[in-house]
Amino acid sequence: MNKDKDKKNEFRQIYEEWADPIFRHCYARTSDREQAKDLAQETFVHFWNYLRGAEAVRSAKSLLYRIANNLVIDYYRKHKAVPMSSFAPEDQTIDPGHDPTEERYRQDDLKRALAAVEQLAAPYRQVITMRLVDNLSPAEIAAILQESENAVSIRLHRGLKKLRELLAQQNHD
Amino acid sequence: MIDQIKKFLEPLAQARLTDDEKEELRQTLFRRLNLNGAPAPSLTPSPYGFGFGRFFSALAQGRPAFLTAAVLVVGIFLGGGLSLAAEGSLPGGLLYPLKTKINEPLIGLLSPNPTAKIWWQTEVVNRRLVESEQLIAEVKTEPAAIQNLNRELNKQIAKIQNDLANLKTESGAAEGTTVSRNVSRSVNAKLETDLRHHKKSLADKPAANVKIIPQVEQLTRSVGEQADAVAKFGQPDAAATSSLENSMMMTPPPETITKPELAPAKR
Repeated sequence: MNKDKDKKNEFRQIYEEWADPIFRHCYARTSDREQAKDLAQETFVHFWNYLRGAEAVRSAKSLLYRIANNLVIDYYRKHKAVPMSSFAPEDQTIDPGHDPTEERYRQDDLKRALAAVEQLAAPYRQVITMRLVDNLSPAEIAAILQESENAVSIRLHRGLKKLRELLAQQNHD
Repeated sequence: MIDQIKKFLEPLAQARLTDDEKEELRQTLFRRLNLNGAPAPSLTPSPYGFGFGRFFSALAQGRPAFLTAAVLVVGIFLGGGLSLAAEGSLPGGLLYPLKTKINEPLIGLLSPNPTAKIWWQTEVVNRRLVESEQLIAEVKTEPAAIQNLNRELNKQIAKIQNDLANLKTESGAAEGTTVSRNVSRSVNAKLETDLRHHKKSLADKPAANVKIIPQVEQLTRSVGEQADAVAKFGQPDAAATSSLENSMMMTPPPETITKPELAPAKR
């Protein structure tokens, strides 16, 4: 009984710490805020199932990102195209303390950032999100994806190159 | 150049849930995983009068712990403690019919809305699972008791799926579909969690009476099959699965996805 209670408390703490980062990861990967919330919820459900059955979890961070990554991949399989209409910056709550014009610029910047990563092929979007949005190291990314660090670094390099080209094209336009 | 890219992606790196979204997600998640652990109703005097305000508020929310407390309170007044005693009874016990035919249906009737009733029904499934583990530990348990429990469990799960299907119809077309889809996913996720947890317990627990071993094995298999079945219910398509084994499957991501044209952004 105490073990169960400890696990519940552990899960609550993990949720408080990782809800935002996991949501952010899903949002960057899907460009859809509502979908990102759903995927984040599913991530924690799977995590809880694992936590209940396991003696201990070595790295909650690694496991959460791995679960989220796989759920996003499942999501891609069911939704082949991610339409531009999935952007919904308008439904985000605007902080009344912020200057509305400033907020509008922030929303536009967010939109541009999302649009840029969306242009990337899925394998590049995956590692770019983990490196530059989630702030994970190449070693951490390799552990999450269960690939070699070398393979991750190569993909990151190519993804960054592609992103540079997109930004250059955007600035040119 | 990488600094430039980092700066460009900074708005995305700062994206977060609003406080309301985080709280809503927490509530939905914790309810789905039964992590709320609602405290027992307080009978100490409150500044608001008789101290029942919080109790009835929780009752109106349909939280199972409060519903159980409510029926026990009613039962104690009516049955002189029999309702309370019945809560601990097992299949074959004298008071077991009072538990399953009076207490549990009464709690269902007290549910404030169809969704709360369905959530209560998942608690009933959990009760049958707990009873099965208790029965297995008893030397006197007969094979028929395990078989009956298995049947009741399957009936209860089928009832939940039927009520979830009716929830969509009752709520109306478009709105009901969204509401019922979310409720269905949450309810089935909870069912799956409970079923998988108890399947493991049943598999690990030795039967006290060797006569019931085949029935226990059948029950364990059945619980596992039900867990697999509910994992698929409430998903947008039949191919989806919520089992951990499938979510952990490491398959390479698709090479390309359809990418929309990047519309030039203008300030």
